[in-house]
Amino acid sequence: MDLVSATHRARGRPSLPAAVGSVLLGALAFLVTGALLRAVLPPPPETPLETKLDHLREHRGYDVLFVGSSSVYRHVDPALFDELTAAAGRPTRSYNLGVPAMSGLETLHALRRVLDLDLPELRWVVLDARHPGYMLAGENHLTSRVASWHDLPTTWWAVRLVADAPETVAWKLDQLRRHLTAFAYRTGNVGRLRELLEPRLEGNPQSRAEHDAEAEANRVMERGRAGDGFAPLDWAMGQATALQQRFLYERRMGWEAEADEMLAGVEAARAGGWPLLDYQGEPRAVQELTEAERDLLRTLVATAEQRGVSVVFLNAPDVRQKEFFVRAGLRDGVVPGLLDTDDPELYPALFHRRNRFDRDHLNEAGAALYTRVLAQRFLVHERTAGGRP
Amino acid sequence: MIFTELRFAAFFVLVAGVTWALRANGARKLWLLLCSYAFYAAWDWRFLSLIVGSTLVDHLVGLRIHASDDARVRNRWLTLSLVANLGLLGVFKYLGFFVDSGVELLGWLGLDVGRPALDIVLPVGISFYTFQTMSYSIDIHARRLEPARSLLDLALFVGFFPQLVAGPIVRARAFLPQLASARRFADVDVRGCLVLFLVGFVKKAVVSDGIARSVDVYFAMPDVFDTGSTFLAVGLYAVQIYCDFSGYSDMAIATAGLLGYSLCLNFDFPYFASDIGSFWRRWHMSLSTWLRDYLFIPLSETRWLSRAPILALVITMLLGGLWHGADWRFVIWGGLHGFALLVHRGWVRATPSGWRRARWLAVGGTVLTLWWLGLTWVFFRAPDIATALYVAKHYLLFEAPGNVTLGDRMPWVLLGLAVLHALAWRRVLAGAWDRLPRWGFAVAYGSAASLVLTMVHPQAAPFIYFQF
Repeated sequence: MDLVSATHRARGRPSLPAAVGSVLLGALAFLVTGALLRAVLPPPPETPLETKLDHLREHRGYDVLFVGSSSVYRHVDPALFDELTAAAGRPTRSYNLGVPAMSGLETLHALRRVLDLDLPELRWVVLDARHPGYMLAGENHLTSRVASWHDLPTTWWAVRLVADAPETVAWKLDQLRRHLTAFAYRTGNVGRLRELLEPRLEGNPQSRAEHDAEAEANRVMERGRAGDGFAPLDWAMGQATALQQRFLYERRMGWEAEADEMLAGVEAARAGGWPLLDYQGEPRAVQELTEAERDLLRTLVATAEQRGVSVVFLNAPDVRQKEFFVRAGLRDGVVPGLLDTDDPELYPALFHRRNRFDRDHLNEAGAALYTRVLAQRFLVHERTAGGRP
Repeated sequence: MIFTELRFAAFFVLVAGVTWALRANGARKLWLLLCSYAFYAAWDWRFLSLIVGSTLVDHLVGLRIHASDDARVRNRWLTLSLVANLGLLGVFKYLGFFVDSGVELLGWLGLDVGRPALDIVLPVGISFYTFQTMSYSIDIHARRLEPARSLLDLALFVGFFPQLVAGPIVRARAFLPQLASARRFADVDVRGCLVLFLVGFVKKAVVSDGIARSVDVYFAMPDVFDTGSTFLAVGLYAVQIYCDFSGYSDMAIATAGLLGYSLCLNFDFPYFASDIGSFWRRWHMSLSTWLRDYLFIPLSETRWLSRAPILALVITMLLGGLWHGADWRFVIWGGLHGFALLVHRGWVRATPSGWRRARWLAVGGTVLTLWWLGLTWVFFRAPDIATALYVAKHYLLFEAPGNVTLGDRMPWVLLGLAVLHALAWRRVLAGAWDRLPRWGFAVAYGSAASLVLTMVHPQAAPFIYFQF
């Protein structure tokens, strides 16, 4: 096969418009085939959002959805929440749509997916957005999880946020590369069929059975303890595989000392009358938002309100006292309400080691306490809808 | 940067677009050279100095050899080129190996010397471009080639990015004439190049990377697996390395073609060879012909080896093995191939030619050749000699002590791949893309590319031959 030869001249050279047309047609065929494949193929593994969306498709009637990271997933008990709102004469039927490590951008994507399900009873979404979530680290941009939320609108948001960030040009270019790669991976469905076939073709019956058991264990975890999406960490440790348990164990190392130090700091600050410091000894500062970050918060609100759904945000208690993205949004007037419990002065019990699992999360007892506080704050906010909680 | 990465697609669109937009040949060549150096620098810019240095030395050597008729002067200049290029290989690729081997040998002799700490990075592609530059100087010395008058031409011959880091090893005689005048886009079989690139991409990113995990699992702990798994792992590795390397070559040839330049064929269905001699005429052809022309033939013509060409063959195969890696495993690999070639030579001399044309013999020969190749691949893949000997022993004895099965479905995958490979060998569907109308080819290619990507691992594994 001679790929470069005068004999090919006989075929004739297409005109530039014809050549461009061929390229565009090929690109269109690529995109259409990709879209068809995305519609037909089952969702990629390690995308817990899909399990929760499946639940909402099959179980209707929820009027309150909690959407966010593990701050929701591990902390908000819908059964207890509904019990408390019913006791207050304002019954709800809530669902925990928390997904570990879900960030601002991914939360926007998840919110759109939820609203596209067309849930007529939905009245409230309670959003957790601890940080805008446009920084991709390590090789996360190559994972099916990160690729899954890089549709065109979310990727465009990522580009805006990165461009507007107060960082160096090199950092921005690197982040843009990561986001555009994730977008390309999603558009190209990179690895989607492989992820399905590899476990079925490789290994032996025993390894395949182990793989299936692990996949089922993940689904059980995603569905939550009572099938309502809530998975407290104490319960999760009992369900987790050995590898997951080791991961959870390792992230707990040293957190008690930090929690004790933070509460001691609160006491000392109260006694001494000086401002609270975060875990690095710096004054807790509510950060300045970029214009793109403000727009992201506005868009989170508008996306829900355009569908007739009210929005309020929540902050979970964090020992580090470092991330105040939504609090800054409240200060700047772009967020209608914040159920803020991330305050060791007001809620010291939520920071005490007896109620915590690690520096970022509460244990089951702490989650119950948190849900009670959340329900109270929610009821007050609902009554004063639009005012300060 | 490797051909299966997304950033290569963006890189290539830019390179090709500007190349064909430039009219002047000199401007095109300069642009391609700069892009080639940028391509290499994406891996490590510091080692660009070695490519540039090798180019400059051989440019000077080529001109000096050509300018003189004095054999001693010509020999001295050629020696400079060989010393410079082999010196690069010796330092960057083999120094650690020689030091380790020396320390071990002294240890055997009872002299315990500490191993000096050597932390030498192996520059990507060094085995390829040094062989290219050496062949340039040797051909000028043998009066088979006139030196490139333009340093730009020589630099582009050495550094042309499609073949820079993993071949094919291009001959100056074939490539330099292509640089003399501006290439015409009308001469490019665009469809053929695009199809070849996609085929190479499938071989590397789908088949080779897909198989790699099972092979890695086996060679990490071969003692737990049963006999069937031993043969399965060896068979899978044979497919993995073929698809990895030939896939890369396909993409390199296609990429060069889309820029208007022809590179030589590097693989011609080697696993259908009916004997080991035929295998070496089909596997990594650019290397095997290089070894034949610049090592085996000159060695056979020396005073000491002219009467023992068998020795020249063995030396060539041992050094050919060593070229693949600075490890005794590769020397053993080369030795096994040398032994097989000697046996085959004897067989050819001992049997009538009519016999050898018998179909049943060809089939039997193919099976036997594949079996022997499997044995040699064990040494190529195993992480160390001990593992290689362990696996080879159980491969030869048709028994393994373990009881774990590597994969009960992978043999079917292997069979499916063999069928596809046989169809390709028989040229089924060859040229079918030429019969499609332009819009039909565009739609088919776009759809096929979309399907192929669903089978690719998101994190591109490096090419096996990059380590050479």
